[in-house]
Amino acid sequence: MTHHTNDNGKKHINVACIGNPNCGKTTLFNALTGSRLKVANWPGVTVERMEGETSYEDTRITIVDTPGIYSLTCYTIEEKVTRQCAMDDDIDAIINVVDASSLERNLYLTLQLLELGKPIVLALNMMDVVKERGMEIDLHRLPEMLGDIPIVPVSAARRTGLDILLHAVIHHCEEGMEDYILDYPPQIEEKIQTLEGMMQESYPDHSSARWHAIKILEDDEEVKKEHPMSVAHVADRSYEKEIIQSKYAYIEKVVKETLFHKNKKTASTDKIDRLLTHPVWGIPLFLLIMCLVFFLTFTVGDALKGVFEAGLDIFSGTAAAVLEELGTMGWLQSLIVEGIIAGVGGILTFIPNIFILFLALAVLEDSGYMARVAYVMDSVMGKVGLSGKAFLPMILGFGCTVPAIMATRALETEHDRRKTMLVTPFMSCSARLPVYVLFSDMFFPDCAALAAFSMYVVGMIIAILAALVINRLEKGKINDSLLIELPEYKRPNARTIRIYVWNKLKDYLTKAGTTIFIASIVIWFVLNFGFGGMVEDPAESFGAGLGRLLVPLLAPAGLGMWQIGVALLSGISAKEVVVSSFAVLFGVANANSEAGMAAIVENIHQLNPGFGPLNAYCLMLFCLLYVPCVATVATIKKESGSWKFTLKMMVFQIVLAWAVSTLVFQVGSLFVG
Amino acid sequence: MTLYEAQKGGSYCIEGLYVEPAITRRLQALGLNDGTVINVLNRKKKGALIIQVRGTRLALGKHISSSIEISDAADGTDTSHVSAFGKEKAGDSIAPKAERSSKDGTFQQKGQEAGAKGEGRLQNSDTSYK
Repeated sequence: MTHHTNDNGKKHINVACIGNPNCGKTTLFNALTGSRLKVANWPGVTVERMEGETSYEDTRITIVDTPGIYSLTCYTIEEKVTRQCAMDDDIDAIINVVDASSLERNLYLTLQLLELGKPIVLALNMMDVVKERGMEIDLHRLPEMLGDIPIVPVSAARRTGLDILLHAVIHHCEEGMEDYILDYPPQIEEKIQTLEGMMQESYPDHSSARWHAIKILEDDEEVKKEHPMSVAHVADRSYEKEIIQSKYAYIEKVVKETLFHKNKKTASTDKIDRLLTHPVWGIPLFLLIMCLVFFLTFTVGDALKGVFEAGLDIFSGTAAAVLEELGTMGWLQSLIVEGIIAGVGGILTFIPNIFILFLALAVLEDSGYMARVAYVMDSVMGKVGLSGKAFLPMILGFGCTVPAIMATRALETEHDRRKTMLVTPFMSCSARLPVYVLFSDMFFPDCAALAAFSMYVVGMIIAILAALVINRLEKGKINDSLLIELPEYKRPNARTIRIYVWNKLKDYLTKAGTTIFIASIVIWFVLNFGFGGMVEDPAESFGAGLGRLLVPLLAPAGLGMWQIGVALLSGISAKEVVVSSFAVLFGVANANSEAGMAAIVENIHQLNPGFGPLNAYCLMLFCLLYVPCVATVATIKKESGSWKFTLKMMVFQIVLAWAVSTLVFQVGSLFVG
Repeated sequence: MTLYEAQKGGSYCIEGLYVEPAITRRLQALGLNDGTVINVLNRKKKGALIIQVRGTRLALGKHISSSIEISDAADGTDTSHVSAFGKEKAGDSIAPKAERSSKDGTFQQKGQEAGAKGEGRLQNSDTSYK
């Protein structure tokens, strides 16, 4: 075993956490390393390999978190990542995280890992659930039947058993693995041994010849490609079915001898599912739940807003007074007060709304309902050629489009991934929330929440319609190959929710301090400078010139003002910047306050008396549909690996945004007069 | 019959998987093998259903469920987690096995067809993103 020793004489080992989806690998990883990676209760949350550090006594341990897998095959991107990690020579040992409450299925991966020959410690997670259900596991018999590997009961959520686990890992790493051999039927065992011999002959340095021999018999493309041998006479066909069945037959034996009182209590999950996955009520209930999420976001968020507003007013006033007192130059005062404070501060007042939105999404994700949504929405999604699973990234899109795009990795085919990436930006992300809140409060005072909520509905409908049109164009079929595990419902964990919400708020604050900060300065600059230097009237600035170029294009959509052109252009940096740019444009210190809104409406009306609710609605629609922020575009480029696809998508979104808002404005004008 | 025709609340025994190789592999890894007993927990009239297998719940689309051959589980009162192993040990009669083997010819043919079709489709999707 390779033990790395670093400068101060400490030993160093690399350990990978590997296990089924949703068995608690990331919770364990967070507990061991003190990290704060996102955790939730649905399969497929982790899509990337992540590393963290911990130490035990005199050993430094690098722990690697991996996406969950059911088997050491490699069909989806995440599976490839995890398999590569398991086979990586740098990985000294594997912590196989096992959900004790579904031991039978989890042990299948364990048996595959055992064949790999690397030191393995089994972390038996969720023992509390096992106890709750009145089940018992024989912890003496279990290791006996699994090649005498250490088996440590842990609770990743309650952080118990962690030291014992690390101790076992280090100890086991030093001792090394005993060869573990699962009995296959004689004719298969014979073939395995022949292939194993061939492997040892052709690749003498190889550490896991038996595992490779078995994979060759399973007709594993990757292994056959990496270790070319003429095996046709032995592996005359795929023996995968027999191999899998032998493993499961053995697992049944293990479960029979070690797991007791399996049926003592039926889970309450089935009762909840009877309602939430009801064939008729499933979809209405889902819509109702989403309704509730957004209703809370608008109402509770707005109720909490006052505190932030008061704080910002005081800050802004004090800053202006201090700058005045110091005798700061006029342009610098303007930059700080009308540029930075207006641009960034205005955005910060939306924190209560963002907080409530993410709190609601966190509860939704941690409860176990997410996977049910895939089932409930499967019939709708199937008609547009996507599996219900594609709806999960779309829901994540209500939070932020960037992680939503990453989550498409869990989808089976590249084709489905791209299609989902294309429609996910239509799900209104939290960055569009300030735009909706501001404009619906300003122009729809009587039904602001409804106007803002309608954006979410319109976005969802357009996403589904777009997928439908693409499916028709491709002459695609109905997609009905949904396959997803539905986890047990559980009470959302306070720590998990805290990590989730805090991470999102931190992202929001970081964005306010970086992207929005810089964008505000740039906007202030282009609005205050023209070819002749600093200008008094923004209408003579660079920004106005740039905005005017867009006026003829935006006019049919009722958005024919250069100010809107500037706001939309700058909104590509981040959608909140649309709000910032209005604030900077009209020198409003706090766009999200009553006075601030009144000032913006007055300014808009002065410039264009005809700008009414219909125009505002079209602006919201345009913001919903046009090019997502640069961060999203970059993520889509990275995940699709194609500029062509990314550019096509951007053109599609701009054309769609223009077409929809123009249509609504033109038709609407007939009625509004 | 296929799993797609199964009744909500019913308990069934898997006779064979006849779907694209990639999905077959995944289903097998999830523990759906010949002889495995599954319970249908919930289903839509047309479309996806939720099954319980080896102590976990899976949602399956129509395409997959209609490619899984099943038979009524011999013992209807056995609710969950009943393993094929346990049943065979318990002295399951030999008759169903004989029945199975007599059907095997037709099943295999069907399986190969499905497999070939599946491969074609997979290749298609492969080339589309290259």
